[in-house]
Amino acid sequence: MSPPDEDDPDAAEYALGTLDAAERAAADMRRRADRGFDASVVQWEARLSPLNEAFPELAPPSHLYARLMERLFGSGQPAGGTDPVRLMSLTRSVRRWRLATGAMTALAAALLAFVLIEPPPAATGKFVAVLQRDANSPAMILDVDIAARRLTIRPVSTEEPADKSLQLWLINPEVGGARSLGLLSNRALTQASLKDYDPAVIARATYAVTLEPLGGSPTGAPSGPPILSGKLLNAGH
Amino acid sequence: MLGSSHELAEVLGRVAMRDRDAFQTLYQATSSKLYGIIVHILTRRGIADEVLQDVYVKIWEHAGDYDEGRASAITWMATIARNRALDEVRRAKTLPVSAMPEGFDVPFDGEHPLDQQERSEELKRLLQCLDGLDREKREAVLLAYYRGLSREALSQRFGRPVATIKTWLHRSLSQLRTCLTQ
Repeated sequence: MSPPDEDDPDAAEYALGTLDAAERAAADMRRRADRGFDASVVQWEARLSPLNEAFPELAPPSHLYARLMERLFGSGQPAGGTDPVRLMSLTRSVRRWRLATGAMTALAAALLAFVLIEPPPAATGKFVAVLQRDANSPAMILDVDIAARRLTIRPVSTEEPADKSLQLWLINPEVGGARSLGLLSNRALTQASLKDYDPAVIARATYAVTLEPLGGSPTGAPSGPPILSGKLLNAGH
Repeated sequence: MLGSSHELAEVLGRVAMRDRDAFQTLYQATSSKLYGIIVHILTRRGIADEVLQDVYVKIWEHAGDYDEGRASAITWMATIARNRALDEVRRAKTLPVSAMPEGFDVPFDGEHPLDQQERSEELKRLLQCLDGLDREKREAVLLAYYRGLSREALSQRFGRPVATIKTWLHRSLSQLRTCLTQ
């Protein structure tokens, strides 16, 4: 087998999935003709394949299997037999392959924002933000439904000090700076209403979490240091 | 882990020998994983159902091509599923994110299942390397991988020319490769 061509960006982009239809078709043909290129694609697929662990499982509709059997073997196929013990063991192996984290890094949290949460389609007015200070800090994931003017924030890895409160702010010069959206729990989902704000204000705002005295900032404005902040993805649309 | 991964490869080997019971076992053990991948990239359930069937037809027909030395069995199958979904999404010329319907039915009950399990060493390593990318570039890579965004879709999303996105992707991938080989 020829050695893979490590510097071929088409092989890398093929595996990442960013080539357009014509480029993908051309790359498919090239894979059949050029073993070095094919080997390079396979190497890139292997490099990126650990990301597959984070795709959540989703059971397909149960009628699909019968349709598949009919398509492969024609109608009237008797149901086959499966050894249940064997199946459990296999399913476990796929699950184990599937995922997960002990101590969640902030990056893993950011990754979850892409795989577990609806990404932010402008059409339905749903947005998401990952709040973090930097790539290594803890994170929270914030969902905003603009149509319903509702915000949900989900703690991922933030420690809450016993003698302080975490307070969430919407920051936008159009509303005069920072406006409190309430206190957060680091354990449960917190929901907040955004009924006081315009969709444009909501979409363009920065969201920040500060560390405040128990019960929240006494002044109505952030008094403690922001520990997390972020903007909504896709908010530019 | 090696044992169980090998076990799946062994079932795939029996599928290559046209063992229909083995095929059913394989389907039951892996279809939720593959359907999850397909639905995330396609976002449209109706098409996802067809694509899942195509993927298992391909697995049935090509099980004999599987080479345990090149990839684990589940990686081989996941790659078929992802590539088939990407072909579909490119052919349909849909922008997955803007065409996103109401929901995915991905359950979330406030405590996700990730906490109890161990992430593979390979994923940890890859995440550390992704950590080294600028935030926007990391997002671009993850959106491409998990949501099937094309360069054009990424260009719209980040408000940058397609040529810039292409440069981002090439540099990011090259940086990842260097990081992973260190």
